[in-house]
Amino acid sequence: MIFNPGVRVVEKKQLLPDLFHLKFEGESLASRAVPANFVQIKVSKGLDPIFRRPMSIHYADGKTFEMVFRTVGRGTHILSQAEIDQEFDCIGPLGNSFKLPEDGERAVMVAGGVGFPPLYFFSRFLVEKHNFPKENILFLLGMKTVSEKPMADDLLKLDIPLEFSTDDGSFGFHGFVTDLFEAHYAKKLRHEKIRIYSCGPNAMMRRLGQIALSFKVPCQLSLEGAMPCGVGTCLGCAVKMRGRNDYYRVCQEGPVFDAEEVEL
Amino acid sequence: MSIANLSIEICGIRFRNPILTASGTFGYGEEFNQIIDLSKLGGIVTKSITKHPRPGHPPPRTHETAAGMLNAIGLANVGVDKFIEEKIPFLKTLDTRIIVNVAGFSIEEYTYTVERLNDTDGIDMLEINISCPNVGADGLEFSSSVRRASELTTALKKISRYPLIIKLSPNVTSIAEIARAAEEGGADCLSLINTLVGMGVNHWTFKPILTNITGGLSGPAIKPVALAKVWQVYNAVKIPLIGIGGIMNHFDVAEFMIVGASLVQFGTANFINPDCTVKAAEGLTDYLKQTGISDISELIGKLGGNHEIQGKNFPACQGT
Ligand SMILES: Cc1cc2nc3c(=O)[nH]c(=O)nc-3n(C[C@H](O)[C@H](O)[C@H](O)COP(=O)(O)OP(=O)(O)OC[C@H]3O[C@@H](n4cnc5c(N)ncnc54)[C@H](O)[C@@H]3O)c2cc1C
Ligand SMILES: Cc1cc2nc3c(=O)[nH]c(=O)nc-3n(C[C@H](O)[C@H](O)[C@H](O)COP(=O)(O)O)c2cc1C
Repeated sequence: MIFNPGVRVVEKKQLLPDLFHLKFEGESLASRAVPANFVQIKVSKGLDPIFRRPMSIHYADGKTFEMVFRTVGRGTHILSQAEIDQEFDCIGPLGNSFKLPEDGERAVMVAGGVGFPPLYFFSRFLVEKHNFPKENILFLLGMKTVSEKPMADDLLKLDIPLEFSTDDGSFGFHGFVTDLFEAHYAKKLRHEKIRIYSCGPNAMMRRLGQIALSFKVPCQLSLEGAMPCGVGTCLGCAVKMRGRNDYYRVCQEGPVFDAEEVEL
Repeated sequence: MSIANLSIEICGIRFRNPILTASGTFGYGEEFNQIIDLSKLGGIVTKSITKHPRPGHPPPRTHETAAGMLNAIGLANVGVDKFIEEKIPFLKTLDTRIIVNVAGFSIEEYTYTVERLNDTDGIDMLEINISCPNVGADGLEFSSSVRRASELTTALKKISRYPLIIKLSPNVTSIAEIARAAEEGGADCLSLINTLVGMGVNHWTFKPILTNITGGLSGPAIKPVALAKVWQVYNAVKIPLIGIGGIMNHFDVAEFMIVGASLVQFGTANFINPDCTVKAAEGLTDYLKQTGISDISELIGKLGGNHEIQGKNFPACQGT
């Protein structure tokens, strides 16, 4: 069932003043979720706001699923006020997933800020469900500044190779996470077979897509976009097809696309 | 009391119930067929089809507003050839009425598409979206002048194998005049309203929110406008009407029928709750029971007073 009218909040954490982590009980949704899937959650019972909000699944274990989100507007603010035992109406799981790395490939996760949830789920999924060696993952997380570090709490627990960049150099590599990737590439990765997975702000994924294409490295991007319906009919979440005068729907053909398929 | 009759007949076609889905909010039925039982609906109206495929406008194409949304999708569609080849075979398998919505940018384009559809089975009616600029001629929308609306309707009526619904725009001085022109041109039915022109602006960047600058407003915000337009048109023409605009539930359906609609379409509501149409169909049965009405067609155009229900207690409203 795609309709999950009564998913119940069972855990809530505030990671940063504007970053929240919610865990829901909802087996019909959780049991079918795979990395990069998302839900459309109705944050209010009335018309304000009128539409559901798309949220990536940060983790799902069969009975529960989690989301991590930043408060950027009315909808996410309301969601941040969720209380334990409060029930929400969720549609999902929606969307496609990442391609698995091929034999001998290193999986390089490039996350921009709160774009990390699908990549966290995917990393865990590779390790737990596919016995993928932890040391064959490289997780790069870009943040604005050192105070955002609590964002990485769950990631740190995964015990996978993990590096940080900050825009202001206050922690880890000084620069954008795409710069951090390029530095790694120049040093070591260019001698290996790698596959890039990414999620984050559009500008970051545009840049990363260009880099991957120029290095001829396979790269998948998990995209966002204004998404009124999430089920493929409003045609709102359009993303340009590369080299063609047409659009994909992020919610239906995505949210994961090969970098060479799309023009951001 | 026996189960109330929800079925409605217009233009010689019987609909299981008055609930249809609005063009552009339900694709070609494929996505929703996986999440709801389409045989519970009176019918579905497909996304506007044009002579040539259209990619649509660059994003952002939508913007959430107070109790509604703006859209400037740009009539993105697969074009009539691909529609017939790829979408009709699927639509034919559905146990519900199929209304194909047609758009165009000249009378020639509309004619071409309608003729192509004439050769195709599995369609019950055509709905003509006349809120498109007449690019070849004066660039104004067919929906905005009596003469253009009448010319287009007459031209299409002459050739169409299927009953014609003309879909009216609210962005006009007198919708009743356009409605009469379409009726005189031979329209079998009218549907209304299409979206209201609106726009959004970013107060920090000073930029329009939609790439197209303006878009169409839809959703519950426009319901009072739509009710008034349906009522005005009901008083101006004799052909049946399909009410559209902000319909969310079975009470909204009843209100549109009371002001004169025979059928209704759910648009934006599908984006909020994909099962809203199925729930509304169930709700209508209860509503008829509560009001003591045995046949839903008794609601049509009954604005003025329900003498039956006076003195009875209404069920308390449970909110949305
Ligand atoms: C498939 C998908 C998965 C997502 N997963 C997550 C997630 O795991 N965690 C998370 O925090 N967010 C995620 N998002 C983004 C999230 O949906 C938006 O942040 C949310 O809809 C904003 O709602 P709001 O009412 O709070 O803000 P609104 O009032 O809608 O917008 C407030 C401000 O935020 C901006 N904004 C709106 N949407 C976005 C966006 N997608 N990205 C950046 N800025 C935006 C608006 O332009 C506006 O300036 C995801 C989006 C998609 C499409
Ligand atoms: C995203 C979107 C796309 C639409 N596309 C079309 C279209 O292609 N053709 C058309 O005739 N109407 C189109 N409409 C208008 C609707 O069919 C309907 O007339 C309008 O949205 C009002 O109904 P509502 O308030 O229930 O949504 C569209 C509306 C929306 C929201």
